[in-house]
Amino acid sequence: MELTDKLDILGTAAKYDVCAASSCSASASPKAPRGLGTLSSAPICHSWTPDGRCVSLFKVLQTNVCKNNCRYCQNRCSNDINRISFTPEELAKTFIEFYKRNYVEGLFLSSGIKGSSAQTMSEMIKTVDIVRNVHHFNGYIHLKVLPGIEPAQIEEAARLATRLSINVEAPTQKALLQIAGEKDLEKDIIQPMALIQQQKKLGRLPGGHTTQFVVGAAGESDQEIMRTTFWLYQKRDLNRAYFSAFINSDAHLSKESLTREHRLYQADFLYRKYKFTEKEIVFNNDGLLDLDLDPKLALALRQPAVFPLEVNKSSYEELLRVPGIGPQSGRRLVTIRREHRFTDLKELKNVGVVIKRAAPFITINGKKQGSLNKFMAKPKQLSFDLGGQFLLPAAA
Amino acid sequence: MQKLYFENTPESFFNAVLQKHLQGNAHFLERRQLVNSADLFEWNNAALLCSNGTSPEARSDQVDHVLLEQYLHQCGGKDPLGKSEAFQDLLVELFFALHFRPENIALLEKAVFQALTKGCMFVTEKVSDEASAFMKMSWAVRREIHNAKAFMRLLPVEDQQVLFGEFILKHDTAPFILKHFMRRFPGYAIILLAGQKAWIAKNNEISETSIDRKNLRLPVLRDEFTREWLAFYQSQYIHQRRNIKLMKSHVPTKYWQYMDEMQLDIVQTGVSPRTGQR
Repeated sequence: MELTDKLDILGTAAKYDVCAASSCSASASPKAPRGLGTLSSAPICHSWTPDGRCVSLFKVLQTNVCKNNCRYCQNRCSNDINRISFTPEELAKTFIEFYKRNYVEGLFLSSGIKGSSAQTMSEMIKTVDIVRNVHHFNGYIHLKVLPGIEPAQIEEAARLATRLSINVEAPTQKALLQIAGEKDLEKDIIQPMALIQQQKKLGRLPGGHTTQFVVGAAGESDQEIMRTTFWLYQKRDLNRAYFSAFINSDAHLSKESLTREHRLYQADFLYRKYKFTEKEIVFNNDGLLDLDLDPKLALALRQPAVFPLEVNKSSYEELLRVPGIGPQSGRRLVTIRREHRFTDLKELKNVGVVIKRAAPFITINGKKQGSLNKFMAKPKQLSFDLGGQFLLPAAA
Repeated sequence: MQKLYFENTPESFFNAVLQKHLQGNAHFLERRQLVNSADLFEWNNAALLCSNGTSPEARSDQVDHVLLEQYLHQCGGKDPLGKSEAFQDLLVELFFALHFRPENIALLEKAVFQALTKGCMFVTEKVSDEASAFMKMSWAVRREIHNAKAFMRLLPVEDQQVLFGEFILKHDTAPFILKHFMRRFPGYAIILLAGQKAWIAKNNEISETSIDRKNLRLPVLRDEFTREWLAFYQSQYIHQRRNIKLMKSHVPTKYWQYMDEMQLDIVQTGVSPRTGQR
């Protein structure tokens, strides 16, 4: 089979793995590199596909042969598709040639399980070893950790890769059993994550480690997904969780699934970047996020007593809870306020506040800037919860 | 009208603005071209530091302190050196804005003047319309550098340690771009072609030359790996998520000519060549 066909098959097989960022601290790059490549402090996307996703990494599988039969995966053993593998040398050479042409920023390597997990992981490590030590590549490598591999292999992978990841797929053992009967959440995923965490503590893996959930395949709720995600951030020092809407057997992906995926990302960002607490993420009675309202707006509408906030006086933490004000614009507001008092919406717009969203929730020098009517016009009745659990944290 | 010259550095420009305001407005500012290529290279090194997010601390003392004191005494305003971090941020933005073409000295001058009267953060955080326009200049330069890092394609010239690339450059950004690729491909000579000019980066030096397009035979930026790349690119498309508008918003169409994948039907139609579905 020609290389072009292999790239087509093994690229297609890897496309559902999500890996947004290819950046990490530039200081992790060797100061005087001998070989090729550098790490970039800002993510570089070298192309974009017609689905609006960026192509930053050479994302392929080592092989799409797999002994597992995971329901969400197109490489499951029961699926009738062409099975093929890259040799480590062939894959390494192709990647380096792509890199030299500035097509990609780094390598993302995953695999089906051919024979045993340990055998396949050895092949993957061999590929990365050639890239690092034969071609002397200093840039970004994201390596997937297969479930059930030897602890020594995790250590070896951590020495070679910039970032490791192991996919949780589902938030609970019960949900995981429904979609991947062969996998054990604790033994195959949580325990290896602890080993990756140890490697990170040793100063390896400048890009840290990540995970991915399949959303909507096992009837799990958003609350379960977020609870597991937050637990992983706290207990396993996870850098980032990705969410991928499940595409069912007739290859259909509904608009609702995509919106749900988007809401999960928003909730995740509120926790990581806006420092919201778990209790501030609002779910409905079924444990799902509101598809019509983003989680930040949903929280703000539940707290009519808190808003509007005065932009010239409120703390950074309070400003972050205003829809339309993010970490960057919030920081700017607080910094500029030391020397300048804001007087109108135009000035707020200039510093990056999204006026359309923020205006109903703020005052400028005591003057109201908008009304909540446009949000309230929805036929749906919003519930109000004025209990202590939704109060803003104390100002810093 | 008397001319006040400045060189291609933020400190030099800053000093020139101070001087102009001290000496009265019957002066105008003009850029003096650096003739010494060693100086130019030195500044490009500093530029690389800036573009990597490191503040150019080594150069902060080049602001004329006596002149600044004199200005503050005579005209009032805020001492920008009192908040050195904000001042460094301003210098970085000014550095990039000075590489914007066509240059708009009057706007740069207004931005520096606002920094002196209302504080550096007033400008870097874009509170006024002038500050916002100034920051847009800086960001346009940064964006062009970033776009070149992302969308410019390189072709290795066989058996020679040479990588050749072509791109559209509107601003004075070639040295920044070449420094990026020099770090990425040590040991390689990098040739960058843009418009009627070519830059050659070799052994840590950058030289610039004019070219005659009509008599120039350029290597075609394609080889057998182009075919492999196109196969890989198409494999990454998930047709259920088709969003061509979003893709187009990320890749300015002026760069499409350098990107082989953008010539594919899939980019226009969103029809997956594998499944025939859209």
